[in-house]
Amino acid sequence: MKKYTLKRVLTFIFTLLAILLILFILMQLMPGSPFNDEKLNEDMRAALYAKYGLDKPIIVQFFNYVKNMLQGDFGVSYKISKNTPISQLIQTRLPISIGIGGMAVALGAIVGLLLGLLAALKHNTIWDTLATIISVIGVSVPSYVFALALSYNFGFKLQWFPMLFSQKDIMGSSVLPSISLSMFTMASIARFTRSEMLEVLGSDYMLLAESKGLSGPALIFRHALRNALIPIVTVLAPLIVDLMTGSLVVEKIFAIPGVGSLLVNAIQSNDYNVVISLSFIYSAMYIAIMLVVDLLYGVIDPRIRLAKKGD
Amino acid sequence: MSEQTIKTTQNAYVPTDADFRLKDNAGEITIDTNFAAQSFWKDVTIRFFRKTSAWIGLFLIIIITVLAIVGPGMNEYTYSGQELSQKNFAPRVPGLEKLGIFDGVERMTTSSGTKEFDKYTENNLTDVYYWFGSDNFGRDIWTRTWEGARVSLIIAVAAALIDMIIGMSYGLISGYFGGRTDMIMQRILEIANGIPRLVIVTLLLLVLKPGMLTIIFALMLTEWVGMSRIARAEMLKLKEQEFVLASRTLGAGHFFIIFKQILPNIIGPIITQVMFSIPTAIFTEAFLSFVGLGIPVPQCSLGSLISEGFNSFTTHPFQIIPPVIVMALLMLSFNLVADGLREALDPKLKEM
Amino acid sequence: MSETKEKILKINDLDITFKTTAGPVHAIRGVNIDLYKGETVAIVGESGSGKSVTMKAAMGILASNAAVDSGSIEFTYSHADGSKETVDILTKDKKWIRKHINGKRIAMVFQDPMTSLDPTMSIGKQIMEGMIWHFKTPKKEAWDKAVELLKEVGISDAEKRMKNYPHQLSGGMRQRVVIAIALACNPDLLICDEPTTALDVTIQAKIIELIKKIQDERGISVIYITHDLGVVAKVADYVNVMYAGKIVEKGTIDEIFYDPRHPYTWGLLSAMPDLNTDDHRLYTIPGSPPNLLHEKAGDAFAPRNRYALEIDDKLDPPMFQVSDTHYAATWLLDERAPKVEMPAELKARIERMKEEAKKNGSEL
Repeated sequence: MKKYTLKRVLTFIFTLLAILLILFILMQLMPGSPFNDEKLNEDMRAALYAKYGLDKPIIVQFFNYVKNMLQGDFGVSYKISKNTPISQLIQTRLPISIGIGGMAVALGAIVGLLLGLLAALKHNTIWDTLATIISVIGVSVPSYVFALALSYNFGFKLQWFPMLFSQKDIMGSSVLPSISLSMFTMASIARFTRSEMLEVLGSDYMLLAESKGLSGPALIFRHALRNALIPIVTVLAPLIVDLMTGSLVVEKIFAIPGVGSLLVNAIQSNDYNVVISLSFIYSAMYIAIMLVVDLLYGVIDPRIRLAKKGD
Repeated sequence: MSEQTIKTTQNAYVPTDADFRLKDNAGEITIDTNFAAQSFWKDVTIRFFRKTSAWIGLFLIIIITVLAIVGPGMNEYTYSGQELSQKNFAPRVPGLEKLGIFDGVERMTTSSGTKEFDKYTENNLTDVYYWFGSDNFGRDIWTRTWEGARVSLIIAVAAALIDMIIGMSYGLISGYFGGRTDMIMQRILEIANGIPRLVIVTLLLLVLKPGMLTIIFALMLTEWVGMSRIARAEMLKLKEQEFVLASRTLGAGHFFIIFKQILPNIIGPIITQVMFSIPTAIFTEAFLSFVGLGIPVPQCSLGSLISEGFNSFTTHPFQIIPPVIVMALLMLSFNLVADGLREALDPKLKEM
Repeated sequence: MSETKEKILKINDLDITFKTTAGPVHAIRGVNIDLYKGETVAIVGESGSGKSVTMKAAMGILASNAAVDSGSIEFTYSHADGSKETVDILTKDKKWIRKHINGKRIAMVFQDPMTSLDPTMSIGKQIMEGMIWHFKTPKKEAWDKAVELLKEVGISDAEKRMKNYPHQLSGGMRQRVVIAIALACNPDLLICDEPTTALDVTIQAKIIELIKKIQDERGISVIYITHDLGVVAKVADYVNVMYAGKIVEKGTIDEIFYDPRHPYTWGLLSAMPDLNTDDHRLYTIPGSPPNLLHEKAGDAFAPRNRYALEIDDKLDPPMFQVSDTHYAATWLLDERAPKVEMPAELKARIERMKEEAKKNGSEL
């Protein structure tokens, strides 16, 4: 286990550095550097350069860059909100995005698990078919289509939930966005749970457990689900990532002041600094989640946790 | 205790003495009647079509592709021709309008009740038909939808195919050579995989200006990881098999073995993966359009159409519906086909 | 053989059909098996003959697409107070069978110990599970009992092993654990479904010895399902030879080995590789087992039977009696049939076997 953990953590660190390197290179390539503002005269420009260390060799610049990024100093925005530190812009928005994202994950995971369980246990009945249809639709139809459909039907026409996010009604206005975001996760997990459960249910150790006399919930939860969960956990990481990307569009549709809509704004107004900073945050979150999931996987599966000790 | 009674069934056959002769069957007994030769692909095809969802998906793909090819030409409008006097017309189809749908009438629900607009009669344009309606520049949505489908499909398929080549080669080589090569290649892969797909795509398109080729390039950069994983897994499975060993002892070179021997055997899972990556590509492209990095105007893709339609979503919902439905159907059908392929290629017979 | 002939299990005319996407498969076509207390009965046959299915029916763990068309499985057991009860397992619903039969009175040992143990549960827990489930044994007591069981099946360091997971043990040890699990609730009947097929030859012998030892010490009855006649020779009292879902010959082990009557049994015995054979060829039964999707009239073995009669294509032979305990379902035993002897090579081999047995002092 130790070796496994070490390997994973090292990969995490390397990937993080690689990401920073790529972002740094891209930064250099970005057209329209912030320092080409016409309002600056020579001295001011020189001062800026000195301040940001742009007159130093590139390697040093990179180190400074890494240091700054890791400390949360992302520089300032140039287009969206002139000279505002990006970290400030992000501060208020991040919790909102994480909140809705978290709700979507929880919703998607729980409902997906139950749906997949149902489909597997009631294999080849109408429930199975229904669950499968829902899953396939959920996986194929992009989250913003759901967002649009939900927003139109339940927000506009039926007026059950507010169509736009508002701070005054956080719970209520989070419902539609969370549901839209969760569809893909829910469908993926449902499908995966179903196929894993089916495989587990047909395995020899289930037969042995039955021949021991076990039946009912004890059989399903103690033996089947535990084994099926292991591969399910492994797909959780990429799903959470997809959530992050889905959030960009969903935030726009529901006018949620989160990190996603900030990114969209930044892209549309060519505020490269913001784009790069947010890319860093997204990437860092992603690989951090992957690391956590990998470690979790190691804990759940005894085959990884305990190396073969021999006879 | 004796069980010598001969069981009698309804159609009891009464044996005669003649029946108790030895059969002269020395020749027959060695014939194995159970062996039925059927080619692998025939098996796969049968299994594929046995699954209803699979051929529904295939059917849908074919229909949409056909429409993407001929659709834009089916009426007199072009995808970029604007007619500003005919903005935001509701869908109107000759024939169907008699049934009360697609009749050019737009029903709007406002706070004061339902209002009906018929821009066609208002402007005395009884001979003008917009099958899916017109957008807010007066362009025909039918033509634009199918034109958009065409663009989306081309981008997606191109990206998927290039991915297949790159990803497959990477995975095959990594898996075949194993050892150090494999380890290094896999580490690189992990790092490449660590950066979220959309971040790469977004950043790339900021640096390079958006256009069909650059989008394909960006898509290609992100999808190859999945393909290479599958290729490598399959390679690892087959590498140790004896036909590979046999070739090697006969002096076959590495690339011969990889591409001429192992490749044909793994075509199945590879094609499945390609089928799966097409919807992802469509989705990613649509996403890019939505955030403003998609196909530049006046060209359109399904994603850009949805993006445009979004703005008038609450006032003229009909504008966003055709591209949304086409895109959803496309993604759905590719997923169904890929699912069906995957099951057809790898059946798990758990019936006894 | 045991003097107190108390019948424990009686399978009557069992008939099972499977619904598959390719059509109905008539897998079991009228099987009759009797088992007496303390006996070891072997069910022998090729893959696909229906051996496992028959016993899975007795355990109520048939696949969901299996339908029992007719027949009964009568199981006799005693309650805690000593009173006896006989039930027809096929008439009971799954829940009842799980509660009263599985693990508690009939236990099963499966073929592949690598896949029959839950990889995410420690072996100690897997052994204790049955006891806690059926008898609500308190944890400490269950733990102690489990350790005892591990010792009984010959695992050293029993206490340490309790916390191990299946992947940390070797194949032979895993199978011992499976046996321990089977014995956990003191069943009366142990069904072993090819328990040694997945193991090395040297381990095979040890496992067979273990099962025999357990049987002697606990007085339980054992059903052995196998395709390996060598195993049968070592353990069985009574043998049922199965082909295409039917019992084609049954008898005591001496009768089957020294006086086989059914051409299929001749085939099986001839096909056993024998170091003493002067024969240049290895005998195999020609053809392959029938596809039970397409049922034909008459004897299922006829297409592969060198000694088939005309009537074998028309009528399925009934069981003919050879002795009180020996029966074979072949038209060759009918009085009207021509006198057919077993192949010469087989006869010679059996003579050799008898000679060896005499030399080693056993009775015939």
